[in-house]
Amino acid sequence: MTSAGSKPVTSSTYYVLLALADADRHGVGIGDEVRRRTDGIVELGPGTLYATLSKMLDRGLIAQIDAPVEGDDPRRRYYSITEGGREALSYETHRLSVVLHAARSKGIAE
Amino acid sequence: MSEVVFRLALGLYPHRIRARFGAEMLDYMRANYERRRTWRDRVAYWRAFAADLVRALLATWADRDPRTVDLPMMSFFRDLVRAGRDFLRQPGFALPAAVTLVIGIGTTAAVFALLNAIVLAPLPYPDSDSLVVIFEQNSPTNRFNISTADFLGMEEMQRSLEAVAAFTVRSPVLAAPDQPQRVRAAVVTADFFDVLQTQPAQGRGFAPGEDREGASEVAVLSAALRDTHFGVGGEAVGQTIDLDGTLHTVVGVMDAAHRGPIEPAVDLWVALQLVEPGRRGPFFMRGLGRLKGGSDIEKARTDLADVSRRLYQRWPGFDENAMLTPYSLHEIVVGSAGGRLGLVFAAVLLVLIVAIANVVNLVLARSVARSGEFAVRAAVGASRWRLARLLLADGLVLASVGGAGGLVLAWIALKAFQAAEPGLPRLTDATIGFETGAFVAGLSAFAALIFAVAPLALTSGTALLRGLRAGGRGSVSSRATRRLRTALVAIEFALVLPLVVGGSLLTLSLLKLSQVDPGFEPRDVVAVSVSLPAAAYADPALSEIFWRAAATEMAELPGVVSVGISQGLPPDSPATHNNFDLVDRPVVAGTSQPVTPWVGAGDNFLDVLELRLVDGRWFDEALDGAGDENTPWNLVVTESWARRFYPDESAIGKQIYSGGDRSVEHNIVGVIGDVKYDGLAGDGQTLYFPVYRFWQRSMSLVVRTNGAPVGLADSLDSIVASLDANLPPADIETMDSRLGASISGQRLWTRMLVFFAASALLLTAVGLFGVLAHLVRQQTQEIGVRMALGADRLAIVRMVLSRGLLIAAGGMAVGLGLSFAASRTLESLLFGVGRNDPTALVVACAGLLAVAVAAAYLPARRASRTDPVRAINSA
Repeated sequence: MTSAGSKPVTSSTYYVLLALADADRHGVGIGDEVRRRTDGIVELGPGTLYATLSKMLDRGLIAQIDAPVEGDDPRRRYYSITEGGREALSYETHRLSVVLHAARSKGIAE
Repeated sequence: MSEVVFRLALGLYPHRIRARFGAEMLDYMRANYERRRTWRDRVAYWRAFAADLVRALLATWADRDPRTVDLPMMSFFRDLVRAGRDFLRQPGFALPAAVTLVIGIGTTAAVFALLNAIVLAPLPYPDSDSLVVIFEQNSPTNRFNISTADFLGMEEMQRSLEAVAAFTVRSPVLAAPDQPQRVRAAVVTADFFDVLQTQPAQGRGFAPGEDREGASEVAVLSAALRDTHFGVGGEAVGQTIDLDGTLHTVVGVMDAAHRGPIEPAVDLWVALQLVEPGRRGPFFMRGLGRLKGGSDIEKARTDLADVSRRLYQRWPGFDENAMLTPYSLHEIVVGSAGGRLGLVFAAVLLVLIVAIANVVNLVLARSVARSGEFAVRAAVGASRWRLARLLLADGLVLASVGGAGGLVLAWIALKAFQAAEPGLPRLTDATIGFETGAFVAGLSAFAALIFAVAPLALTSGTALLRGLRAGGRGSVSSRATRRLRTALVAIEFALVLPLVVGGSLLTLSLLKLSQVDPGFEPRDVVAVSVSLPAAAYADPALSEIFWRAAATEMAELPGVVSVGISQGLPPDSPATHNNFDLVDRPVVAGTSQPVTPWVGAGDNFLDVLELRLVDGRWFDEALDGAGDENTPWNLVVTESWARRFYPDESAIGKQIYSGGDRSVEHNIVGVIGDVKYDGLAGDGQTLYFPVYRFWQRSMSLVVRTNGAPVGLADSLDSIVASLDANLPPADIETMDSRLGASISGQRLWTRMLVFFAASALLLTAVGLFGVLAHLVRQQTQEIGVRMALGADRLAIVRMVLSRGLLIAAGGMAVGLGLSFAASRTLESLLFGVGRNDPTALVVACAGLLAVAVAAAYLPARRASRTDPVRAINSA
C-alpha cells in the first residue's frame, strides 16, 4: 500500500471515491451518484463537495480530466479516480467491513 | 433571486476554492436547486444550503471534513422550530402567555417611545445642554418674565454666558389672500439665532440693530409656514408679509426641524423692537443664554444674581429679592411632562414585571407537566446543558413573539395617543424607531433568559431521577415549583398595590377637582374670543366701536339672552395678572407687591355667567363709566381676595394703587363669590375693573343662550366678519368645553395610571387563578380524602379561598410599604387628597382582596365538586 492509501479517509472523501469507482463524473454527477447510492440520505452540499474535491486533488486521490463526451458543456470538468484513490477506497472499505462484521456478530445491524 | 444568493455565497469562500471551482460550484448549486419543485423542498434546500456554507467555511479554516463539523447553531435552530411547533400544539399554554407578553411589552414600549422622544432626546440645537432660559424669580415658587432693562443689563454685565438673547411669543394675524390666519410668532432679539447656533437654511438670521425701535421690520419663516403661504418650496426670501397690518420683509427660512425654542412650535420669528427703558419693567420676555465652555448653571446663577443686585441699584424701587435665574432649556421645554412620564413609565414597568411573572408562572406549570419528558431525556443521556438549550429555545420563541407583537401594539397605541392630542411637548417626534426597537429586543432577550432559568433552577439532577421513577408523571421538584409560583403571585400583589393606590389617589383627586365650584354657570354660555390687529386698531376708540357693535348685534340674534364683555375667561385665562398695593397698608419698600388676576368686565358679565354678588354692587356704566384710565376706577373683588387682605372688615370702600402708580387711588365697590381664573385648583382671588375704562384689543364676548340655537356659531362668526373682513375666524367655544378642557391634563395622567393599574390587577388575578387551579388539581386526592372523612363543601371552598387570600394578603403587606414610599412621587399631581389618603388605601386594599376572592372562586368551586370516590380511586 502507498502512503496515500493507508491513511483513513473522511466520510465525504469516501463517498466521492465510491462515486468515481465505476465512472469518471463531473461535480453534479458525483452529487447525483452519492444521493442515488445512499437512497437520498446523504446529500453533499456545494461547499462540502468542493472543499472535499479540493483536498482530494491535493492528496492525489483523484485527478481532473477533460470532458470525455463530445458536445458536453466545456465548463464541466470531470474527475477520475487515481491509483492512490483506489487503494484508499479499498482500504477504507475493508476497514468498514470489519467494523460491520463485528457489529453484526453482536446482533446490532442487519 | 436564487442566483444572487448563489453568487453572494460563492464570494464567501476562500480564494483558492473559488478560483479553482467557481463556475462549477454555481453550476452545482443551480442543478440541485432546480430539482426542488415544491415550496417545502425549497425551504429545506435553503436550510441545508446555509448549513453547508457554514460547515464548509469552518472546515476549510480548521482543515477538516465539512461533514464532521458540528453546528450547534443548526441544532439550536432545530430546537427553535420544535419549540414553535410545541406552542402551536398547546394553544392553551401559548396563547395566554403570548397575549400577556404582548400587552406587557407593547405598553412598555409605547411609553418608552414617548419618554425617549419627549424627555431623553436632546433638543435640535448644537450643544443643546448648554442652553438656558432666564427668568426673574423672587421666591422659590414665583418666577416671571424679564424686562428690557434686565436684558440690556445682562448683555452689559454678565460674564458666565457666551451670549444672551431674549424672546417672547405672540399670536399676530397674518394677512393672506383667501383668509387671514392667526400665527404663532417668536419675537426675538437680534442675536437669538446666534445663541441657538442655528441659522436659517435659506437667507439670513437677524442682523445687529434690527431689534431696536425704528429698525425695518424683518421676519424668518418656518419651513411649514413658507409652504402654506408661498407654496411648497416657494421663494420667500425678499418677499413681504403682512402681520397685524405691518409689512415685514422675509429675510430667511428655517430648516423643517427647527420650530422653537419652546413648545408649542412657532410659525415664524420676528425681530423685537426694543425701546430704551425708562424703568425696570414691564416684564414681558424670557432670556435665552448659552453657558460658556467650562461654566455650569450654578456659576451662571451666581453671576446673574450679581447682575440683579447691580440692576436693583440702577433701578431702585423694584423688588430687591427678584433675581435673574437660569433654567436649562431642556427642563423648560419638557416641563412637568418629564416627571409625569417618568411616573407613567415606572407604572408600566410594574405592569411588565407582573406580566413576566405571570408568564414565568405558566412556564413553571408547563415544566412540571413536562417533567416526565425531561426525565426521559436525561435518562437517555441528555446533559443539563442540552435541557437548558431546549428551555432557552422555548423562552426565545415565546419572547420573540411577545417582542414582535409588542412592537405592533406599541405602534398602534402610540398613533392612538398622538391622535388624541394630549398636548405634550415634542409629542409628534415620538416614533417606534431604532431606540424603541433596541429597547424591546433587550426586554425580550431578558424575558427569554428568565423563562429558561426559572424552570432550570428547579430542575436538579435528583429531581430528574425522581420524575423518571414516578413513571413520567412525577414532578420537576414540584414542591419547590409550587413555592416559587406562590411567591411570584404574592410579589405580583405587592407590586400591584402601589399602582392601584396611585390610581385611586389620582381618581379621587380628579373627582375633587371636577367638583370644584368654578364660580360661574357654564351651561348655555358661548365665548367668542377675538384679537384685533395692533396696526388697524392702534386707537382704543376703534376697539371700543368694534366691541360695542359686536355685543349689540350678537344680543339681537334669535336665542341669545344677553351678551357680556370680558378681557379674560375663567377657569384658565385671566389674560392679565397685575401687581397692586393697598392704600391703607402698603408693602414694605423693596419687597414685592401682591399679584392677582386683573380682569376687565362689562355690565352684563355678572348676569351672563351667573356670578354671585356678595356685598356692595356690580359695575354699572352710568356710575363707573365716566373718566379714563388715569382717573380713579371702581373695582369689584372676589370673596377670597377680600378675606386675604381684609379678613376682619368689609373690603367695600377700601382703596388700592394699581402697579407702581401711586397717583391714582382706585375704590372697591363690590364683592362677588370666587371665580377661578388660575385653574380649578387655584385660589379664586380675582380683581375686576370696568372694561369701558380701558378698551383692550384682545377680548371675549360671553353669550348666554336659551338652549343651543342651531347655527349660532356661524351667526356669531359672520357678525365678526361683517364688522371687519380682515379678521381671522373668531375663536368660538362653549364655557362647558372650556371647563372640561381645564382638567383634561389631569384626566389624561389619571386615565393612564388607572389603565395600567387595571391591567396589572387583571394579570395578577389571572396569575392567582392559575396557581390555585393547579393546586386544586394536584391535591384532588387529598381533597377527596377530606371529603370522605366528612368535610363539607363549604369547608373545601373555605380552604381554597383562604389559601388565595393568604397569598394576596402576604403580598399586600409588603405592597403597603411600597405604596407609602411610592405615593410621595404623586404628591405634586394631587388636589384635595393627601398622599396617604385613607380612602384611597382602603379602596385599593378592598379592591385587591375582592379580585383575589374572584380569582380564587372558580378553583374553589371546582375543588368543592370533587367526587371523593373517584378522587381516591385515581390514586
